Amino acid sequence: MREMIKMIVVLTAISIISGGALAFLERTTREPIEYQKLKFVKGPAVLAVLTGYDNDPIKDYRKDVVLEERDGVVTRKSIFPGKKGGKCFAVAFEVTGQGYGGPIGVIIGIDLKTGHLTGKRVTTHSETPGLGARSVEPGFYEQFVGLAPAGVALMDKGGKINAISGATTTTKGVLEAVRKGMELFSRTRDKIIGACQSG
Amino acid sequence: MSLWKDFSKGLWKDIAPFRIVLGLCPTLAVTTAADNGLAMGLATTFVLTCSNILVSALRNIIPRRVRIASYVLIIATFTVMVELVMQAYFYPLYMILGIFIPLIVVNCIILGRAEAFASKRPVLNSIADGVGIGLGFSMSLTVLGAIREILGAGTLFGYAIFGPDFSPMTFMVKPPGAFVWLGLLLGVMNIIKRGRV
Repeated sequence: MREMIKMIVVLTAISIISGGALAFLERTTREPIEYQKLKFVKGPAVLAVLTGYDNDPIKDYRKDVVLEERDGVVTRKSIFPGKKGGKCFAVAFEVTGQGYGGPIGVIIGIDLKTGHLTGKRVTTHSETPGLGARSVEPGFYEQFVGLAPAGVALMDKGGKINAISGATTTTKGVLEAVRKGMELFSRTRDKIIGACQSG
Repeated sequence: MSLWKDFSKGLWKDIAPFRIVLGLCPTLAVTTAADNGLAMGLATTFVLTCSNILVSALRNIIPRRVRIASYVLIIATFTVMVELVMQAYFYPLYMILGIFIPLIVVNCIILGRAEAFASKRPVLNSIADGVGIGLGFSMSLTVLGAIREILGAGTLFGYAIFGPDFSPMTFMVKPPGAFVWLGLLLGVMNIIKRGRV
């Protein structure tokens, strides 16, 4: 009996101390980890779609800005501001679309003055290698640079985008995501600019 | 003197993973480049030394029947610490080592040293043992990583060492290259040992 109590006490004590230490460390490293994840996972895409900035868009980003509320659904976006000489000229944020193998995450950059795309990059996807996965290649994403909302559609629908051959669903998913993002921007432009300037 | 012995045996006489053939999973998986091997080795050294200290300090308190559970708890705590710190300050490294950092918990070298050494020796000797075995393991991983990196990518610690005409043997940085070189190094170590005896 004494042996058993000792076992329980020792194991419990070790668990409590270890849990406490880890909880403390988790709290102190939470912020740096979040920053590193942004910098190395979404960061390269953000920096690629915003050109000509002189701030650190990753450091200045505004987390979960409430952009609009429709039918009780609140839309939040994390905004990456692109600034030059302290003035906002473009923003980047993430949008998602439905691809062939699951959701596709796309970072888009939008020029604040014109509302045109400054670029887009696919960041997360689970598309078929060799087909839909080619949506990360320059041949596809370079087509989007400088497009107005009307241009974000396939050639045969009056747009300016060549589909990835063999990956119609992926292409449509990406287009859908970009279009949704640009519509959101035109509806909530003032809030996005406000978030950008406060960043 | 015995402290020095406990430390130095890990560097040659009992060097992991060539002499004590444990911890092969990280050895094979992360030694695609010298710096990956070194980083994995140092992370293991940290966990090994810290867990050795605690296991040794608590060796008269932990009841025998729950000792393995206690060791795993202690090792897991330090492993998660390494993982959090690496994520917070060395994220690119974390992306490469990825799943192999949490797997330090089940690294047989660490559990083996806790059970075979630290649970029976004073704290100072256990520190010497942990640092020695850990550095030996880091050395092995770095050497293995360096060989594979030089042959497979033509670089060492990321610096190009051959001219631009070098065409790398990509095979060496793929999994089979790990088995080939681990086997060759194990063979060389056995030849050296036999020559001595």
